[in-house]
Amino acid sequence: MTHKNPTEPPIRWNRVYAGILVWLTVMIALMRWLMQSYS
Amino acid sequence: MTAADWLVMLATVIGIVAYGLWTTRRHHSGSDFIRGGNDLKWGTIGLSVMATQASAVTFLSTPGQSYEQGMAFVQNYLGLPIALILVSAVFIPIFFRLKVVTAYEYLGQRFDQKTRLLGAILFLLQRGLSAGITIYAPAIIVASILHWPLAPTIILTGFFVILYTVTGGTRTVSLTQKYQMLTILAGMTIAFAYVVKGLPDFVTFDDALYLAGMNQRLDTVNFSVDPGERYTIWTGLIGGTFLALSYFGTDQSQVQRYLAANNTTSSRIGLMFNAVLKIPMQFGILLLGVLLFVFYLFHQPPITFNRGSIEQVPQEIRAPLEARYTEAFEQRQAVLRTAVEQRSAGEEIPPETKAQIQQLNDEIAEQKSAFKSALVAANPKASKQDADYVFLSFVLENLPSGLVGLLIAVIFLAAMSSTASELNALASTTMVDIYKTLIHRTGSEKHYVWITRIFTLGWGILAVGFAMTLKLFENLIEAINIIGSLFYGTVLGLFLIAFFIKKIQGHAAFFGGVCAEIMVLGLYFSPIDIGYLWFNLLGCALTMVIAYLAQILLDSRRSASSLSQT
Repeated sequence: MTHKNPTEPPIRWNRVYAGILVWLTVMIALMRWLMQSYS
Repeated sequence: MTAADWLVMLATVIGIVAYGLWTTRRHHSGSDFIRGGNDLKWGTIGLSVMATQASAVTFLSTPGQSYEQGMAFVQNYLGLPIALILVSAVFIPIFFRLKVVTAYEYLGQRFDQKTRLLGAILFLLQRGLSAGITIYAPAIIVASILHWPLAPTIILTGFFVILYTVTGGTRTVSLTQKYQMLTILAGMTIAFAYVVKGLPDFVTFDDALYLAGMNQRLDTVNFSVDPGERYTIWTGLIGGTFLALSYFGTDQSQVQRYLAANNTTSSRIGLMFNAVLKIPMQFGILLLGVLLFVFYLFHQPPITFNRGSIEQVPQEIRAPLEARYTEAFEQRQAVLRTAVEQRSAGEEIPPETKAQIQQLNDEIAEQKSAFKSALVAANPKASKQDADYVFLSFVLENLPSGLVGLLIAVIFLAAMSSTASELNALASTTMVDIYKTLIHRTGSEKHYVWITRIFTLGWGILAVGFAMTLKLFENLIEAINIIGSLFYGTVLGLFLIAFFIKKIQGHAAFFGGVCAEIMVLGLYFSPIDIGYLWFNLLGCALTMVIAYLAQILLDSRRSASSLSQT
C-alpha cells in the first residue's frame, strides 16, 4: 500500500469533473464544426 | 503473410504475455489472483480499463462501420465521460469502503442474497455471451482473409488467453493489458499514417475530408429527436450515459480492473484517463475508416472485401457484375480527380459534377448489392456484409512486410486483452457470488484461488465453444452493444436503487429487477422499433419504478397486517 505524501494537496475532484464536462462540450463543438466545414 | 510478419506477430503476442507472466510470477496469493494485489497505479489501471473495453471488434468493426456509414457512431461514446464521473464520485468510494471483490457483493450487503444472485446471473449471462463474440469476431475475419482454418484459429486464440488468465489471474491480466494497449495504439497510429500516405498525390488531407463530407461520411453529430434513429446526440448523451454507467459501474469485467488500484485516488485517475481519451481514440478509429473510404475512391476495391466469398458466386453471374462495377468505378475516379483538381484551383465544383458522382455512387452500390444477392443465392449461409473486412484488407495489401505482422498482432492483442478481463471477471463472480456464498463458505485462500482457476478454465472453454457455433451479426460492434443494452439497464437500476433509494428493500428490488428484465427482452423481440441504446434507460427506469411500487405495496400490506393484529 503506497502512502500519500502529506504535503501534496488533495485533488479537488469537483473541479476535475467540471473540467471533463468542459472537455466533452469542446469535443462535441469540434465535431460539429468539422461536419459543417465539410458538408 | 511473409516470414517477417509471422515473426513480428508471434514475438509481439507471445512476448507481451510472457513478460506479464514473468513479472507477476511471485504474486499468487488470493489477493493478487482475484484483486490484483490492490497496489496497481493509475497508469496501469487506466490502460487496463481501456484495453478491457477495446476488443478486436473495436479495431476491425469500427473502421468498417465508418467506411460504410460515416462517423455517427462516435455519438455512442458521448455519455462515457459523464458516466465515468458518476462512477468515480459514487461507486468507487462505496466499493472501496466496503472492500468488495465483486460489484454484486454490494447488492448482497445492501439487499439480500437473492438480489445479489440476480445481479450476478444477469452479468454472467450477458458477459458469457459477449466472451464468445470477443473470441469469434477476430477469428472469423482473420481466418477468412489469411485463409487459415477457422476452428483452430478460435481454439488457439482462446487457449492462449485461458493459459495466462488461469496462471496469473487479475494482476497478470492488468499488467499484460498495459503493454497490449500501448502496442495497439502504436499499431493503429502506424496504420493511420499509411492510409494518409496512400492517398494520391493530388489529394491533400483537406481534400480527403471534403470528399468524405460530400459522401455523407463526416456526419458526426445528429440532433434528430426521432427515437427510431440509431445514432443521435440524444441516444449518446442519455442512452449512452446509461450504457456506460452500467458497464463501468456494474459490469465485473470493468469493476475488477479499477478495484485493483492501490487506493480510490488511483482508481479515479485511471477512470478520468479514459474519460479524457476514449472519445478522441474512437474518433481516430472512425476517421481511419472514413479515410479508408477516400483511399478506396482512388484504388479500386474488390466487389466485396470478404474475398473468400467471391469465388462462391458462379463466374457467369460474377463477370458481368464485376465488369460494370469496374467501369463505374473508373468513371467515378476520373470525375473525382477532376473535381479535386478544380477545388485545388479554387473553383467551385458544379452541381452537375456532384450529381454525376452521386449517380456513379448509386451504380457502384447497385453492382455490390447485386453481387451480395447473388452470393446469398449461391450460398444461403453466406453473410451479405463485408464492412468488418475493410481494415484488414487494407493492411494486407498496403503495409510493408513486418508491419502487417504487427497489425495482425494488434487484432489478437485486442481480442486477448478483452477476453482475459471477461474470463477473469466471470470466474471471480462465479467463485465469490455463487460458490463461496452458496456452496463452500469456509475454504482457505489457497482453495478459493484454485477454484477460481478452475472456473476461469471452465468459462474459457464455454466461450470458445460458443464462439465455434456463432454466425456473424450484421455488424459485430453493434451486436456486443445490443447484448449489453438488453441486460445492463436492469442491473444499473438495482445499483441506483441501492445507492439512492434507501426505502426499497430486497424483496421489492428483486421483484422490480425480474419484471424489468422480462419486459425489456419482450420489447426487444417485439415489432416495435426502438434504438437499442434506449433499452439501457428503459431497463433501469422500469426496475426502479416497479421496485418502488412493489415496496409501497409491501409496506401497506405490512402495516395493514400489523393493524389487524392489534
